[in-house]
Amino acid sequence: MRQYLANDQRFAIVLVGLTLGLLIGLQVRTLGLQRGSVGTSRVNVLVERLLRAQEEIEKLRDEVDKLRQQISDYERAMAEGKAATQRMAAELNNLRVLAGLTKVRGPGIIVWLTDSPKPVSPEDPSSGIVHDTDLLILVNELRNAGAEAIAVNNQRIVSTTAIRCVGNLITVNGVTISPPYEVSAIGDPNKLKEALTMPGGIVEQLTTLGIPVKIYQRQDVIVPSLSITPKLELARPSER
Amino acid sequence: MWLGLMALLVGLVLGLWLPSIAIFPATLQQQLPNYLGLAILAALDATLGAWRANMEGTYDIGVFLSGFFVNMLAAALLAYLGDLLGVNLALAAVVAFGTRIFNNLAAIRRILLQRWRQRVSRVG
Repeated sequence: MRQYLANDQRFAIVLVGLTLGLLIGLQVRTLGLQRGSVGTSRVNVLVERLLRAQEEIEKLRDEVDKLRQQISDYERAMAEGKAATQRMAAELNNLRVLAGLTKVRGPGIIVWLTDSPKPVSPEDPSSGIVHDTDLLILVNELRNAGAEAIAVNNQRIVSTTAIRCVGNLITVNGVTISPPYEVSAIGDPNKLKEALTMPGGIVEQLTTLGIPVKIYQRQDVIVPSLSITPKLELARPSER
Repeated sequence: MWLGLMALLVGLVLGLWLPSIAIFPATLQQQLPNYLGLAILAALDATLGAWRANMEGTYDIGVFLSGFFVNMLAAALLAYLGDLLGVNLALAAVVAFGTRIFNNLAAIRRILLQRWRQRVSRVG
């Protein structure tokens, strides 16, 4: 059959075959590249990366604690033999606890709450969800009841802490947290619990919305230190 | 026949090899398969159409070549236009070319079957 083909026909066949092959090859290859980069493996990769990052954060937080411990060790060493500075060092320690710069432990309560597992009422789809304001009220009540250190999902609450929602997520200290929420507070366990469970209090409000809340009283609650030391750029002590 | 297959193979290798030496921009890499697939569909349709015409004795190289390239470009452009307009014109092209490919294949199959039967009856 080949002998009957004229030259231009042969050229046409080559041209067509080349084009078709090139296109199919390109398509297969680009699809393959795409599948490699954004395929189903992407979710797994991202999850793994997330886990690794979280591990690293944990490690770095430990290191921060260690370094702060070191600093206070040095300060203690300096204060030794100098009676005058001893009181200052003690005060510094107290202030550091209040400022959230040290990991602290003591008696207190742990409040566990999460979004409503039941389907929320159709007229208000956000009613069964824990809002940033709920956490804010909770933290406020704990403070009012004399809590000395508070953390939400291991984020220490300090004077510069903001609890707010970004989209449908809640951030504390600029770190995104997700349900279930765990608010740990150090203080008189009975006082703290009473402050939350008083009639018309925050726990009652939340449970009527279908949000499960559990309060545990513990003799040893650990509240982590602030993961990032807030910067002081503008505020200066006033002489007057 | 062999020349065409050889060219197909060369093109295939070239197409597989090209992306590994020249990295396309990411946007092109994302958009390319949408239109390229349609172009391939059109090209396949034209090739099968040519085969069928060859068997039916109505083959015309001009018709084939023009159909091959024009359909290919038209399919890709139509899909692009559809994307611009927010209408899934690619679907229309897929349906149209898919139907034609099946029709062509059916015609080819029928002709081959007929020839085979003629040969068998002649021998028998």
